[in-house]
Amino acid sequence: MQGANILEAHNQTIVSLEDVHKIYPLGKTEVHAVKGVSFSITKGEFISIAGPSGSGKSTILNMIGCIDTPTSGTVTINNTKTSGMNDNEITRLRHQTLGFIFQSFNLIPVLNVFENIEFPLLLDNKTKGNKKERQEWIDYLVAEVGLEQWRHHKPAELSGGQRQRVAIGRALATKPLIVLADEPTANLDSATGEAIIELMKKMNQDVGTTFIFSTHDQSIVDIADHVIRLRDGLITHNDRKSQE
Amino acid sequence: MNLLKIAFRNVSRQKRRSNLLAIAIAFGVMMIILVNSLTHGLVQNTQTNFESALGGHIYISGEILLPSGRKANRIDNTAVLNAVIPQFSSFIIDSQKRSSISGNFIFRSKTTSGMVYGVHWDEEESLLNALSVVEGSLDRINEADAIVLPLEVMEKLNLVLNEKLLLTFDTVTGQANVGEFTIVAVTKDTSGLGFSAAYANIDYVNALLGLETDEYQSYNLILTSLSLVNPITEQIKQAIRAQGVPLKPEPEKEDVSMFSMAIEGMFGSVANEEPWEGTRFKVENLNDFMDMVTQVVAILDAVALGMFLIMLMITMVGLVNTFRMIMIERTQEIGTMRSVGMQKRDVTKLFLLEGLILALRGALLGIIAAMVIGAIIRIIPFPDGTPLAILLHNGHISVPLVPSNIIMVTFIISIITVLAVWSPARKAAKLTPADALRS
Ligand SMILES: Nc1ncnc2c1ncn2[C@@H]1O[C@H](COP(=O)(O)OP(=O)(O)OP(=O)(O)O)[C@@H](O)[C@H]1O
Ligand SMILES: [Mg+2]
Repeated sequence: MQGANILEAHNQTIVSLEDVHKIYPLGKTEVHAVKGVSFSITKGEFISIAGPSGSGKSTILNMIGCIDTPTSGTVTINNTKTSGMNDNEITRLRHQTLGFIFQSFNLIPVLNVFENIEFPLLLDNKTKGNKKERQEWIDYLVAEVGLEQWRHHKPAELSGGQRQRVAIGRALATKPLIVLADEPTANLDSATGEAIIELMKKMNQDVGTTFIFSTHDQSIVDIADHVIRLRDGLITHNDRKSQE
Repeated sequence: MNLLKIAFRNVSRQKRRSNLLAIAIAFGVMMIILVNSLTHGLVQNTQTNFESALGGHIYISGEILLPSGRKANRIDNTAVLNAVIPQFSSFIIDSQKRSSISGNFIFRSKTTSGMVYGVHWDEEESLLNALSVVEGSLDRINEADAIVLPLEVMEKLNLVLNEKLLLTFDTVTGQANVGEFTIVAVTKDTSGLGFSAAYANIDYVNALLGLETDEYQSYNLILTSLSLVNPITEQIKQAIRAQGVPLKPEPEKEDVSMFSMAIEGMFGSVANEEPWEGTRFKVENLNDFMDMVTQVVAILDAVALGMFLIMLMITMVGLVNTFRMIMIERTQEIGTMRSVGMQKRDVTKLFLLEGLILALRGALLGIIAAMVIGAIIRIIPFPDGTPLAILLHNGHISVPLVPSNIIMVTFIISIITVLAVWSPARKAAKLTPADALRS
């Protein structure tokens, strides 16, 4: 019974792209950054979007993250088509369903570690919840990302790896279904980068959140259990490692 | 609320820039509050100075037409006032009945013009308080021929306390007369009105003028509030008319000055007027004398308003520029906040809050500065006999801080801030998250 449930959960499609194109206007010309991409992601996956620079990784992640819209094709998040939603709805979807980790960390400089992680929860009265419960949840996340001693420090006082840990905590604060990470290790040395990916993997297993990250670092790609390879805006490989 | 916390911290991110802007706002707020307080104090002091010099807020006097065609300052129909004044008793705190002589003081070969009020000393508490005695004392004022004389007259005529001096004048019927007074006290002019009067017993003055003992020439009223002065004046005029008694025709507006009245009082102008029966009344008030002051105040207020508007413009430009810069500096941060789920309206709110915090901080600073400078101005002493005395209170400038004014200024500053920050705030909110993040 229990096993069946887990299996069912694992087969649930939570992101799907169908023939997605993205064309950026660039002065008088256009850049065809994504040229018809279709794939789906199952709930709980730890998935890597790999490819050389300019292959369209960020563009695809932005469209999954609903911070950019496709020129054509459909993006479906958690059974909801994102086309036709207004800004308020899209923002609410991002807030409730998605978490973000950025290459350059993008923490809020005036907030300390604890407050940065708590920040998404305070944006909406519905997710705010009971203060004590919230506090405990944030404390848990601070501990999970290993920053208990740094909880009162501002981002400027942290190392790159520590900042990215804060970002992971923040991405998980609203208990999103999906966390998107665009080259989360690009600004870190390889050892720290690997530790960050390991932490993401751990959170993926502990909390069951789907992680989608992009990278062009092969050693990191190997940690993923589902790899989508891109070249020039097209998918060249789409490999799921066997779960067994 | 969390936005407020972030807004507060954001304001202190660029301390120098924030402080400069706050100081600019503070300066403007300080100036407008100070100018307003000064004009307010000026009006207040002038009013109280007039009030104590003229003995009230509303002055009712009467004239009768003599068979000779002359006019005499006399109320021979006190029943009218006895019927009218009680109707307003709930607005009147105090009242005095006075008579007055305009004439020439004479001592040995010297002479100087002057004015003597005949007063009921036992009813003139505020006058007793207002008189600033420099020589002698007010203990002997009840002696029949006692006179309290202004210092200027003493000096002009080389008088000494307790000496007797003469006063030549015309009685109400126009006969020349001479009276003798004994100097019991000398006062200095604190009102700054420059026509400081002498005071004597009304009974004695009435006798000299040829009036009955219980007569009086003017009925002065002190009201519960200065704001009532004009309406009550009008109502008293109506009430007098309602008694079927004539009022003196209103002179042309420009004619209303103390000087023209004094001249008229002295020479009794008989400029082609309709004759009338019995007493015709004249109801004047403090504000008739305040015209000049209110004009000056209006000019000062206009200057202050101009300054305030210029300051608002400068503040507005400063705010708009600052927040444009802030928007550019923080584009990526805005992108991050939007990605994480912050709604557009909250981005706008954050910017507006930052602007308001900055402006209110500046306003608070300005209010404090105005209080400090106001306190310093209040300390400055002015010498006796300064021509500014009419504007002063006990030789000092008054700087009353008017709460409604402070609230108004703060409110206007807040509105201006919201207007100035609005467009950069909207622009920040409109950025699409992807574009914002790329910057
Ligand atoms: N805002 C934009 N305007 C115009 N062209 C763009 C824009 N963003 C991306 N592109 C172009 O689209 C293509 C794909 O860009 P994208 O950023 O998705 O690549 P990427 O795989 O993330 O590369 P990198 O590894 O360097 O981050 C590139 O050719 C890029 O120049
Ligand atoms: Mg990229």
